[in-house]
Amino acid sequence: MSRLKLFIGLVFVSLLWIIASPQSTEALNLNPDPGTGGMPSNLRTSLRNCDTSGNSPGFEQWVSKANAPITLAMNVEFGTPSISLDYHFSGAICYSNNDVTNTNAQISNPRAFLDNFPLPGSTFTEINTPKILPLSWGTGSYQQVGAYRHSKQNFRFSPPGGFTKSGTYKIQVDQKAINSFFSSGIFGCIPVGTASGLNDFNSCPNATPTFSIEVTVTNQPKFDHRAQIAVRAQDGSPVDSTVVRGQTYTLFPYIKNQGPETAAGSFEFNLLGVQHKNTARTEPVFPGDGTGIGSLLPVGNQASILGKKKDYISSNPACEPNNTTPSNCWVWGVTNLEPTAQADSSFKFKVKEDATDGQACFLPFARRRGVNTEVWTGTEKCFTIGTVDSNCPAGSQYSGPLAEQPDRDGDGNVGNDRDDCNDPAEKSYLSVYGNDVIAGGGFGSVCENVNDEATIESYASGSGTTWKGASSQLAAFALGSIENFYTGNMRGLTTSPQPPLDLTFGNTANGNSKVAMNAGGFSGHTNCIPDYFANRGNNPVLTGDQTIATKSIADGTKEVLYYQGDVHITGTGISFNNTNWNNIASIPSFYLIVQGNIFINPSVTRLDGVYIAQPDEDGNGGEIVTCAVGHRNFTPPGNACDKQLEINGAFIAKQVRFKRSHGTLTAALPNEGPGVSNAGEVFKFSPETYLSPLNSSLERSLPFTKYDYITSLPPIL
Amino acid sequence: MQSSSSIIPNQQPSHKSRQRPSKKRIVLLIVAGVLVLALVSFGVYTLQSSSKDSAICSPQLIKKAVPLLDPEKLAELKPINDEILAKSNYANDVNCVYIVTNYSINSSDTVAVQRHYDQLVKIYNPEVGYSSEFGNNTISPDDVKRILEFLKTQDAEQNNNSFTGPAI
Repeated sequence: MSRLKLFIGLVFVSLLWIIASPQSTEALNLNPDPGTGGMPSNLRTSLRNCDTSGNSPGFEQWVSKANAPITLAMNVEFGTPSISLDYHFSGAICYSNNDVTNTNAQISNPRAFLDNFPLPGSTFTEINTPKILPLSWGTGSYQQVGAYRHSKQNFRFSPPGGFTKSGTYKIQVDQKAINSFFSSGIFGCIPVGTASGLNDFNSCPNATPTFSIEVTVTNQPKFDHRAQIAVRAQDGSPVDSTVVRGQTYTLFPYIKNQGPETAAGSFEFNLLGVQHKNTARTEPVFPGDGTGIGSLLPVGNQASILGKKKDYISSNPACEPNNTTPSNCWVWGVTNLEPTAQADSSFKFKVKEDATDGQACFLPFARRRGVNTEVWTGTEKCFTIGTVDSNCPAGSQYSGPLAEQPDRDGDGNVGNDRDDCNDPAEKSYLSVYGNDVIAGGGFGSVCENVNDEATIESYASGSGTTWKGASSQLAAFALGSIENFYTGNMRGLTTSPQPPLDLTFGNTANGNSKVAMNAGGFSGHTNCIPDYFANRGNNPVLTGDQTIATKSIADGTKEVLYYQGDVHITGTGISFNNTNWNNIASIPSFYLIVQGNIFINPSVTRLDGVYIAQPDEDGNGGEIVTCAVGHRNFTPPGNACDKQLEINGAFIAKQVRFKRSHGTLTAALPNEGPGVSNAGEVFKFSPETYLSPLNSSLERSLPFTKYDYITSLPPIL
Repeated sequence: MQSSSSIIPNQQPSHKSRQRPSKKRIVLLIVAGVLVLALVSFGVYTLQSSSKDSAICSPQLIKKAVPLLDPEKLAELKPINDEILAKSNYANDVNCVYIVTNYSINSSDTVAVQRHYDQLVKIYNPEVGYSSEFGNNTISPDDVKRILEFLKTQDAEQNNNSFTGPAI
């Protein structure tokens, strides 16, 4: 009994000793020991206790200031473009007999966040491509518990616009890791999977570690006085990346307001200049000797801005031109004397037709007067001009090596086709169904302003009977030439008339066109078109530039709109509510009659009705442009015009510019019908156009007693 | 004549008695002088004491420390940090505290940053700031507070990126 008591007592005491004994928190001695200055202390502690995980090796990774492995918070002066950082990857053997001899980690795809918000536009050097961080344990090192290895990769991190705000910057990467096993020769992905080699990361799972650094921006001005510059196209739309030769742009220098100091008259700035640079040189945009990428337009006194140091005066805070976000405003205003209107703060330039290669970079400078006379470099704004290829003629809308141009004209030729340098609108691809195409006519009973050289110019190709591209299902008439436009589409070969020429009625001898077009030459035919605008009677006329947004026409509507000025059609277009009607009275009619131009936005995909653009008394206006931005004949570059425009009706104008670039001839089919056409503009003239009851203002007296003047049927169909 | 001559001698004593200060007055003057001296001495002493507290870190020491505030020179700053911490009243000198605060930030020592932040907010005067030797790129106590919060968060989050090899 006493022995039992003694035994129980010993067990109790032992338990007490075990319970009371301090737990070992750092079981491993790292060798070599990075020390307290070699890695963050909590990570070092974690690694020294990796033998509690059951796995080996144990790994730690972190990001620090370059050459300062334990510094996670750092100061940078306001506007510093980038900082140098180190990515650390380290590990330790946690147990003996784990035969990992090498561990490689790969990091890639870095991205950044500021205070948990993504920082798009951040750039990274060195780790912008996948980088491998190796840990070599060496054969036998795996027996040495606590063996420590470390690898690091230096890189530079540049947030967009440089460092202007203090906060927690987070850097996230994609990371994969592989162990090499000595005994089995296996390359094991961490945590699972196998690879064919130590650097075969493709088959390994992806981790996305995130690392934080704290950046304190010092010497931060209360007022960001760095000059900015905005560039806008003629229609006011912002220009972000490309400027086009021959086009005119407007520069808006301004001062960005990031601080509380917005009191009127508190600050003054000088705009010291704007520079253009490329890889070979840095020079003023408008050096005055004829070189440079642009020519400053001599409008008013705009030219003086570069030479006379106009004053920036922060009057009342105003938004950046056309900026619709009230919270994102700028202080601007430029004048020699006093704050004036926005127009005075801008100046225009035209990119020369033969502008040199490279980028057009605008680098404004500002100087804050009276407080700090130091000159502050503004934020550079760069635009691509492209490279000039001798095969692309000067003035081409696009430039560069021909081989790099897409097949814009759709002829299937890439690499040697000068037409690819130009906007596809230079070679229009339109399809007309249900009626003829007529070029050459005049408005009014005496056919005013008849253009006896009116042509039809578009793009078609083919041979024999397999023609495709711009075409009319029926006939085409022109007082001038008809080039690259064939007729009798959908007819095939079986019976006459056959494409491409049988229904083509031009008035000139065949030139170099791919389609011989002089059939029926010298017809002497003229077409008089009613003067719709003059015959408007007492109907109201809206004057000045107007915009018509998306519009629906209800059944039975007889609508006619008269405008004197330019009309910009936006949204998705103007369309009838229905496409089937039970009786004629239900068929709507819509006429847009403009003494001026009609500009159709790229967003418009459908227009129902009849659209008429007449010139004024001086012959100005009268154009319809199927892809334009704003109230002007400006075709946006790039793919902005690639939507197909369907016209269920007709166009009547002094000139129609077909600018849509929806399809290519490569994708076009011979004899394609209206339902499958790849054309940029597809006209579908259905009987509803002349069956629908018209608005009374369109009822005519002699000599126009009918309204089927737009439905002149070809004579032999 | 006699009478007049006799008058003059009689007048002289009274004249002498008006110019001679009394013993009491002399004592009062001496006491006042001592008091003035004491007050002046106290003021000088106070001023000297004050200037001693605010210049615990000499301009020479600050000049020596400024180029070492770069995190890459942490090891070189350590002797200066230790020297400052050895001064019993370093917490009364904003420039001393600024140097050791930077050292603790660069070494990501959360506990030390907390301690020095507490010291800094007690003595920092935004109207005066730090010594001009530090230049314009200094950080304010508000910045230190933000960094402190970051380091506290990091202590908890850094281990999220730890991982281990395969099971043995």
